[in-house]
Amino acid sequence: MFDRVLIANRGEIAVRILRACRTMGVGAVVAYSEADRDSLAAQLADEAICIGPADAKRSYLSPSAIISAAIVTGCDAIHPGYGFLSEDGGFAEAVAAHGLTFIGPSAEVLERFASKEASRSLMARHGLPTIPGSEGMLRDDEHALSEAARVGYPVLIKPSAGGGGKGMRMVRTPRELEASLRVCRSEARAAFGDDSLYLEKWLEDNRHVEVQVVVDRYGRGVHLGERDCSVQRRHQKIVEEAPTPALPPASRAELCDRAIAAVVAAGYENIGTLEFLVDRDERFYFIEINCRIQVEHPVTEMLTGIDLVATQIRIAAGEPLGFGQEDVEVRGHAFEFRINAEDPAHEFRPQAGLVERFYAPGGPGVRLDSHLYAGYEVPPFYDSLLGKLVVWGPDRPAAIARSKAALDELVVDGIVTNRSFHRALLENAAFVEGRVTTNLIDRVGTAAFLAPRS
Amino acid sequence: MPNDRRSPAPRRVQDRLDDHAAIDHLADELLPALVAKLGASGLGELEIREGTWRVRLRMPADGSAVAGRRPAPGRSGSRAADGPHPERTRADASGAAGTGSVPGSQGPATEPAPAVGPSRVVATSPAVGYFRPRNDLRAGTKVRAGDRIGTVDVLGIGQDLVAPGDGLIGATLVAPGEPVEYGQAIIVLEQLGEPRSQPGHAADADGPIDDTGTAAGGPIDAIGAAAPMVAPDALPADLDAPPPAAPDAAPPAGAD
Repeated sequence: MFDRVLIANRGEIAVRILRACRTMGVGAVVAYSEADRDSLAAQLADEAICIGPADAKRSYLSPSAIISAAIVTGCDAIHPGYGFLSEDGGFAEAVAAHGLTFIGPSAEVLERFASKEASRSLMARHGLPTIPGSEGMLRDDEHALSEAARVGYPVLIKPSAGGGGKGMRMVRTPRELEASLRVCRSEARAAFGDDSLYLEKWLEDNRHVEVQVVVDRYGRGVHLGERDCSVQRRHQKIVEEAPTPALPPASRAELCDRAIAAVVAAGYENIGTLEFLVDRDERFYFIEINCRIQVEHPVTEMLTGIDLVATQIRIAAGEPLGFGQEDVEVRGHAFEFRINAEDPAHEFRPQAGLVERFYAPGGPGVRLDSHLYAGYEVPPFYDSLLGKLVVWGPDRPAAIARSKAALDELVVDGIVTNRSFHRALLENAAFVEGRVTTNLIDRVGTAAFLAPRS
Repeated sequence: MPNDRRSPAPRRVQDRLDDHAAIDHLADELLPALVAKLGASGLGELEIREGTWRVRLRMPADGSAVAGRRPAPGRSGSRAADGPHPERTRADASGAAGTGSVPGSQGPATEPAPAVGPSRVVATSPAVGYFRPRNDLRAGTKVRAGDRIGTVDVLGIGQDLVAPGDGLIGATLVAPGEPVEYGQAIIVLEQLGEPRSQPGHAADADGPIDDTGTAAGGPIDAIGAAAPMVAPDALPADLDAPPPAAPDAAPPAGAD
């Protein structure tokens, strides 16, 4: 096991990784930017080290700053969290070249799954159904138009690198396609430094369902069930839950079994998530794999009782998985609500500023992973995630009832959050009945969710 | 990489350790007493001379004679024990020109930098890495804004530590080869054109006798130049200087 881990991330995930290290008896050093000097993680850590200015390119995205920080603080491993450098094969390689361990898949594995288009065909070879789409990257507008015609409109333009909905657009006509290509390319270039795009057939009214997998260095892997992330706004996940209400138990088991078999056969290693679209007829299609710990991992932790971050660290340290599929038991139902610093009444505009009062909800099955505290100043430089309210119940209605109570208890004063949106969502018939599709919120409009209840 | 770490002869390393021990002792035992005395006396300034040492304390404008906070020896900062404490952290950030702790290092580098008045500027680290001083610089050396006054070694590549303004090299707050974090205060520069309270002081004959021929080197100048009050964390800027004799008032140091 590692002696000391450098946590090269910020916000709630830095706190989460710190907690995992503490429970494992592993030392932890938090690397922070100047804007995060007062962050909860930096204050709770055994040690904290400033690695650069607020600009992420010179701090959380700077491989040399992070590796140097790990060396001067005597760390033997680096946890990249999610986002930033978490899926950067070049970074993983540089970490290894300095005699340190990257907590995640090896550079070689990351490279193999770096391109979404390449991993789509790789997983198709290992037996997973994929959405019809373009053959390879789009070379130019002409190629895009001919591929879209072959696949059939509507199509989704997707960047090969990255995620988070950036550079993604659904188009219904050739004219829309031509108009959107340039925008998507520039968005993808700005967000990921790579403007390669490909096309996928757009499936109406689909659900987003993903399978959590864990594979050790010795090729032993298990799945930890699925999560449903269909509640999205502009391709950004807002609420996640498990099990998915979209599939009956037999289909869920088939999806998860096929996912773990394919990913092990493809040589994956460490923790990962396979994302699928599920259509109206309960058919599922593989879309991409996320080679990192995910924001919504606590949903799975609530259902299985397995500490995913600790498991990830153990695998990176070369330990065998230590449990089999038969040991994984999925119990009850859980939701995760992303508490974001954004104003639902004003186009979800990002907010920054001083948190004057903060109170975390509690009670059975309620967990809040957050870096907030009263007096904390939310910096304007990074994403708007303030925390994740995760609620477990023995079944879905019970989990909804607890979620309402927990959201009502949550107090964040001084800064506007999207709590009101979550609270409204819990009263929405489509949500209560488990019918939300990925495009529903954008189609209906957020105003409909926020309207006063009759 | 600069080879300055290998250059000091064994005797000099011992000298350096003696310096550190003496400074630690000074900071831990002698200074609190002197600060208290100054506070009680109502005087504006107090200077003590003992052998080759000279310590000068000056009451800041607001009248509070409080020396820099000193965490327990050997601890890297106090974040872990404190828990969330934004007010405290903020106060530290504004009170010190530099940064908080440097994890993994012990001694002077972990301490807050001294308060810096209008006549001083501080060169801060451009990156995370190991500090390498420029061998030809001594306390009192004149530098201009933009001059390279050291480097920070990041994965084997030196990044320039640049003088933020014209001035004289004052205290060096980090020992050569020690780790530094981004933004950490490393070298204090005394700004030119400011009225000095002790004209000619740098060339004073009562400075340490220097067998290397450097006029203004030595722990005393480094300390005297560091802050309105003696900075407990100031290091000798010139490590080649002879060891200072500990003040008579102090028992032999080295019980660290």
